[in-house]
Amino acid sequence: MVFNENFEIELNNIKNEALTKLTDINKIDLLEIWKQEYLGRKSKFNDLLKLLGKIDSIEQKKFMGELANKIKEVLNQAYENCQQSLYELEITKQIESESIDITLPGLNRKSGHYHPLSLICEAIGDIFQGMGFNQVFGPEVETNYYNFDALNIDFDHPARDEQDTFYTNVAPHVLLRSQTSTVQIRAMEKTNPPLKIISIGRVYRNEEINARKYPIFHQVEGLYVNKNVNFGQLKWTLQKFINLFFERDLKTRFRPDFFPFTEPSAEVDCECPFCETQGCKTCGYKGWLEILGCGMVHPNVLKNIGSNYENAEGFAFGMGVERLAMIKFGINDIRYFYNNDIRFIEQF
Amino acid sequence: MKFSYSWLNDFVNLSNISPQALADKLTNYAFEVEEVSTYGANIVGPIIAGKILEINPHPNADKIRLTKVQITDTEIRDIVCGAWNIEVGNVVPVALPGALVLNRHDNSVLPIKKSKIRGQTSDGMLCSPAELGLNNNDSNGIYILDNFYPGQNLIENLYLNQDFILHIEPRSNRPDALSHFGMAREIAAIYDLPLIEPQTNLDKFKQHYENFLKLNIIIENFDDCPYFLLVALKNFKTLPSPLKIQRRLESIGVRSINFIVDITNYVLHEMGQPMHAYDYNKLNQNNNFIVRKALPNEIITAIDNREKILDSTNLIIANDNLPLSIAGIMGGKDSEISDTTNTIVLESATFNAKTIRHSSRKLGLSSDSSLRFERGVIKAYNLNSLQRALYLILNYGLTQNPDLKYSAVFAQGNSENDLIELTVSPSKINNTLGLALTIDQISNMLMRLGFKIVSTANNELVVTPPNYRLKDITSPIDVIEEIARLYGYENIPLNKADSIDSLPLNTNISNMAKSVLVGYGFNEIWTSSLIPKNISANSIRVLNPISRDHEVLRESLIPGLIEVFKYNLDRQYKDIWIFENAFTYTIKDNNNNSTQSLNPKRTNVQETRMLSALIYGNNENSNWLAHTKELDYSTYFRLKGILENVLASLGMDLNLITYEIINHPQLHPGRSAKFAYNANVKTDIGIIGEFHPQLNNKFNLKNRASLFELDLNKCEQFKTKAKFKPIAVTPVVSRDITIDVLKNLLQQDLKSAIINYADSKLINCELTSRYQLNENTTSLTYRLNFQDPQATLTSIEIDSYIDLIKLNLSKNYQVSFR
Repeated sequence: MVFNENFEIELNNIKNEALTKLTDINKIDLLEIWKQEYLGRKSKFNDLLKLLGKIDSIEQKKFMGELANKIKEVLNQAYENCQQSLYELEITKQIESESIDITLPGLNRKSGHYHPLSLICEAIGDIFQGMGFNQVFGPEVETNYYNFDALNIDFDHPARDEQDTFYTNVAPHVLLRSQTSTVQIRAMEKTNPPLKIISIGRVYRNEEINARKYPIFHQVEGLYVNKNVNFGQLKWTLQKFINLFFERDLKTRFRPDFFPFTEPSAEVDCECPFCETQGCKTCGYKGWLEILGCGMVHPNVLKNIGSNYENAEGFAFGMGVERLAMIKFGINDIRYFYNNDIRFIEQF
Repeated sequence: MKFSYSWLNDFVNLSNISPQALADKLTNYAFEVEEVSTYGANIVGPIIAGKILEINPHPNADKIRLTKVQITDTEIRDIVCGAWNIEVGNVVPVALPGALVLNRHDNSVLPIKKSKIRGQTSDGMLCSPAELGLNNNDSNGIYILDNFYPGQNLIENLYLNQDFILHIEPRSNRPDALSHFGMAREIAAIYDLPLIEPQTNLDKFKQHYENFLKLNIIIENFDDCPYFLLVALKNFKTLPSPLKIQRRLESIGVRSINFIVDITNYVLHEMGQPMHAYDYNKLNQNNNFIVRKALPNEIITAIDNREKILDSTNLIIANDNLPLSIAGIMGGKDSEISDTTNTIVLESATFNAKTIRHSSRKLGLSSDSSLRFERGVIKAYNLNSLQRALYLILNYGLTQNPDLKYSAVFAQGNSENDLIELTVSPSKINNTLGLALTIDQISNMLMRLGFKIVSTANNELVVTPPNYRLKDITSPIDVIEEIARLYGYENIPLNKADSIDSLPLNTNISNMAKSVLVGYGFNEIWTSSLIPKNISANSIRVLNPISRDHEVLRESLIPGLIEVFKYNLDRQYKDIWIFENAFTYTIKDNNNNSTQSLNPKRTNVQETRMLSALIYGNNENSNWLAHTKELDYSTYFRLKGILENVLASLGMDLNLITYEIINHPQLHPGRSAKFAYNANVKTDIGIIGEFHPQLNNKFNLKNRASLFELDLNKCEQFKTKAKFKPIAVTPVVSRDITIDVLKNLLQQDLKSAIINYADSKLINCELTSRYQLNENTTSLTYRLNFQDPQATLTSIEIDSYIDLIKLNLSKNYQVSFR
């Protein structure tokens, strides 16, 4: 009986000792040592269990066996709880030690930027493409024929002067086009009506460089030829373009003007998007911005193309890309486009 | 060009149309009005002429005096005056209570009231020119008036009303509207108001006509001068130019010179007809006026006091041997009107527009006259204008020159115009404009514009344009434009355009390349296609460049790229990654030049779309973590990698690209290459390389820079479309192979040999490391990936593939394996 009592006390002592020790454990490896010590094969607990066989009384044996199992279960449970909380502690520590100043700058390459004229050309192209205009291209080095003759420009017109147009050493009739209207003729020569095209490209004028003028600039040319094309359709098309380009509905003003290749011709102003006709720096205190020139294709131009075009009608329009970019972005000097200062390009 | 509102009002009644309303209407219907400004101060009456009857001292002041001024036949007023230049009997301007004049100290508005000045009543104010807004020099004293009588309204007679000036952009095709009368005619048509013709009837001056001389006009070539008129005036004594004419000319920015010149300028701006006046007394009794081309090196001193050397480009009026004036441009000094001129010859003519333009350009000389002749003067108004000038001279001059006589008008040439008839149908007009006008509405509009309606039969209009519109109305479409204008562009309704079948979309391969480069951090540049002259003999040269910097069309984008690089380098940029997508220009096939260029539609020029890029620095935002040290040739390989991604984005197979070392003046001879695409034939498509060390030194670069230039036109030919290949599920097996090679074996050749000798199961082959063993030998390690989409490859199979590669390499190259 004494033995039995001792056995029970001994078991409880081990249990208490183990649990007390466990409260001090703060590391996984210590926990493993603890496990060896109290639950391992060579633990005191195991030693005690080996004595269990020497108990005679079956009842006693059963009682002690159950007690021992219960204690083993308690210790196992305590081990697992401790292991879990130690793991959590470990992660918490790792997180603490790895915390960073999340406001330090991100590591990156500088981002690239499109040239503002690229952006404007693309925007214009997209708008007209959306209205069913096909984008086509024409050469910059041109002939007298496409730049002047075919466009109903008199042989003696001042635009043909060397003071306005660049001529080249290639041949006397070879020049740098002064307008993208050349593409109208090239497109019509290639395709029968109906035809609905735009062309965006570089043009050249013999002009001194200043804040407003550069000998190189870009134009958008539009042409629609079909049966029964009228001036009202031209107005609709350009009103739509202006609204889409400036991303709001703006009033327009079609003023009579004169171009050799269109008749009737008009200069189109739109209400200044920055001051709503009140007058500001962008519009030169006029309240209106001159945006483009347009008109009904002159019958002489169509007649020149050939019989397919004789009974057709059309409208055409042209506008300056730099001018539109300057208005849209508020740029006050055309030379920025060609200096290519990175501080300029990065703004777009 | 400046137009006076009050002057326009002489010919069309503008009393219900404000200057701003007129400006808006003109802008929308005909001519753009850029600005409306004012001329003169806002002086308001009653301001009348008064005669000083008495001048008495002021009882309480020394510096001011009391006057009695007769302001009508029956009314006399007491007015205090501080000026001392007045005498009894003087007629002076009197501003009565209620008038607004200018404060002479600060030009502010000074309202006149009945008041007491030091105890004495003052019932008005005597005015100086400055107080009336007149710019005379002697503006300190009271304005002493000549030839005025008490009670005369001075607002009217001194032209004190403020005027409005319309700044109108002239239109090259509308010479008829370069004058006040012409513009008024346009206004009358737009508003449908009656047009008032200027006074030209000389009947009331009949007694001053005298047939006192005969002038001979000889026109060498009627193409240069279709019509030429002269008239003479004698017994002229110089006199001041009429105040009204002075004020009107000043208001539109023309300086007053003398009576005769002012009248000719007035007629120029009123009728649009340039005139010229000669001092007959300086012509040595020679009555011949010859209109001819100048002889080579003929000399004339013009009224600008400069000697002009003439040639056969210049049309002149000559008096036998002596040039008198440069026709349509400027008069000669020798026959210029002066204060002593007694007999005057006035010229009114039509000169050929081109002749005058060429003459003016040649001399580098232009004037108000030449600008009008260049646009085309209206022949039908030659005589009218001459009569108008005579009328004004006699009207304003006879009081002081009662013996003035005018001669007959001498004419040479033909004043008749060939009028044309134009036929246009209302349906055509309505179709073009998107309107539904009746034939009556159209006829009515055309008549307002001065057209004659010849016939309206068969629903067709036959019309004759007015004789002042013969230049710009020559075909039916011109008539349609007039209808559109008068109907008002603003009133034409918007009309949705039809949609038509689109042509195939023109996809631009450069967009893809551009987005790849922008993604890498490149900034896009647009440079001038005209660049300074270079060594290349084949470049396309501009014959009339604006400067040496813009003389030839570029054959390469590299000069522009380097220029922009330098521009930004000079502005302390440390990382410069830039690209350009643009054209280069070359003459095609030079041998065949002469025959090709005969075709007026062909240029024989090739325009090629190119892509160029340059990297300098690593283009990273500051890396605060660490700095990686780069190999000195890494910019080349870095750019090469970018280039290959660009090529891949264009749908090109990178395995077909080969590189070959080249010499390029700007590039490092050991680190630059041209690259080719080997589809069916080998085609060079671009170059890539590092800056030449000399260029580095020139720019004093701290880092290396590399650039490439790629021919996108050629790439376009090789573009392939993406096509799906099934994704194999069998495992990929990798095997490394390390090869020691001699330095002169290019990696590109070794790799293509490996691929060539490998089994088709090889799916890719990548260089994973390179090690320089010694001066002559490098060791290269490739990772080969094999895969059979049908089955899992065994290591025995792989071994056999590797053995085969090794065997073939050893046979053909000096290599060893590790």
